Amino acid sequence: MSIKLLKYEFFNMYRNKWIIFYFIFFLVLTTALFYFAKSPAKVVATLLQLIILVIPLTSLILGTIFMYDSRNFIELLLSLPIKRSSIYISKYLGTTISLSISFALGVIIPYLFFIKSLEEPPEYFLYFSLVIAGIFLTFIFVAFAFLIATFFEDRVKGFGSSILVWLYTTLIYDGIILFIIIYFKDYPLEKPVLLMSILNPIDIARIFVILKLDIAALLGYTGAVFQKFFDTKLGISVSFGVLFVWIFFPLIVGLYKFRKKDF
Amino acid sequence: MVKVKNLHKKFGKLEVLKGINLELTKGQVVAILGPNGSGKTTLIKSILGLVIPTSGEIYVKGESATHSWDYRKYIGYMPQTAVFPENLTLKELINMLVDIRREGYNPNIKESFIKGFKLQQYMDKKLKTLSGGTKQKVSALITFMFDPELYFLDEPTVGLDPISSSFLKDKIREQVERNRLIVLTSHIMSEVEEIADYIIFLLEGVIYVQGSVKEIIENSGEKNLERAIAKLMERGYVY
Repeated sequence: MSIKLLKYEFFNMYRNKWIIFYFIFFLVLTTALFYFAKSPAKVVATLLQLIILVIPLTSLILGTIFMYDSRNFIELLLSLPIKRSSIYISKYLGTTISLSISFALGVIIPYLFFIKSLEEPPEYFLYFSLVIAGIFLTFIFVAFAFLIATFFEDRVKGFGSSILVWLYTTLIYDGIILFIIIYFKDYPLEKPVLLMSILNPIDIARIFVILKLDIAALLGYTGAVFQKFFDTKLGISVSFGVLFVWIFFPLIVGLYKFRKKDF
Repeated sequence: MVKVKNLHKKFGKLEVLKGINLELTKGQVVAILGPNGSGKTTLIKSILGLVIPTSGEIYVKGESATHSWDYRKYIGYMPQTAVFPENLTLKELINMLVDIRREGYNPNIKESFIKGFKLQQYMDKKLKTLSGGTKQKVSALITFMFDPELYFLDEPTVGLDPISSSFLKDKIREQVERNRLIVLTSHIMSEVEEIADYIIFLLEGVIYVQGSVKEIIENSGEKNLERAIAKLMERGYVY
């Protein structure tokens, strides 16, 4: 039953012009970066900064829009002999997989196109971890968007909360970290800051990529600390684990809420 | 067929259903009547599992409906306002529902509804372009084509022209002869008098009166159902 629902979710998603636009955005952006920078490592460094802003924002906004827009469809499905959780999960997978495919194709196609003509090392592993980080961010923030859209009946409140989550993870959190670093500069801060990075999925995704970039120190204090404390392998496993927790936490809360919701 | 025991539903502080008990057997049309906000739709949606009851028990064909979903295969539901995924065409919607639900699908019923409602011309149109009445026809079509044993029709004839409305009423009566149970709500009393066998009158979340159409008219001393129900409502408002 879930597989059939998933099929129709994809069918619906690829009729949606947002998904196409999302693909074209990354395609044009990555092509332009390769055209000017001509080095995969530099492209990854720039792309990473953009991805950690753009993917959470679009995943939150599009996720909330899709969930509110498909309310009719959900109501129709709910009157059929289908489990509530299958409806939610297939909608979630339909959205996240479609967005991830659009993003991954958008950044991989220019890479494959330029890689032959460039003299710099291709950095397969680095580029691959960038794509993985982007996909993780999509799964995390769509889960948040679905949780928010299930929680708030009112669209305005839903979009407001989505924007708040984005502001927290991209701006407010960095501000708090900076404040703590400056205020407690006389104390050893490595461990607290390390722990705090777990409180922000974007920071974890960033660490996940920059641990392979060898310029970790340039890309934020928490990244530098993370690299200092963990050898790269352990760092990868820890950040991987934390990213999974960040997917399942909003997903399970949203699912629980959805199963108790009145339509 | 359907059994409801001591059903309560609260939306926040608002108590919509205050202890509903009922038992409905098949082979009849049951009309749930009552003023706006008396809990008609909430009662139907609770039985369907769209609304999660605060307390109470619901059984459909002997199966408990709490935390269950499989029992919905016996049910066809036509909501008050027809809701569809907007981007699909009518043909795609029908094919999709047949693919997802499958059980009970009867192409002959589908064809007879398409013919009776003259829906052929809309088959390749996007659902969002259809008028309100046409959407209502589509909603009836997708409810009836799975030939369920139990129908919940929430104001089924609203927005339909006289020809389509008569067609739908004929189809509803036809189901009674086939020993199905139809539960409907309506505000058009002449229509209820025409097609319903049994009436449940809800008032502020409790069953105020129930009985056959004939009993209700006779007990009120009025000459038709509309006046009988109006009298009940007036009494209810004072009460």
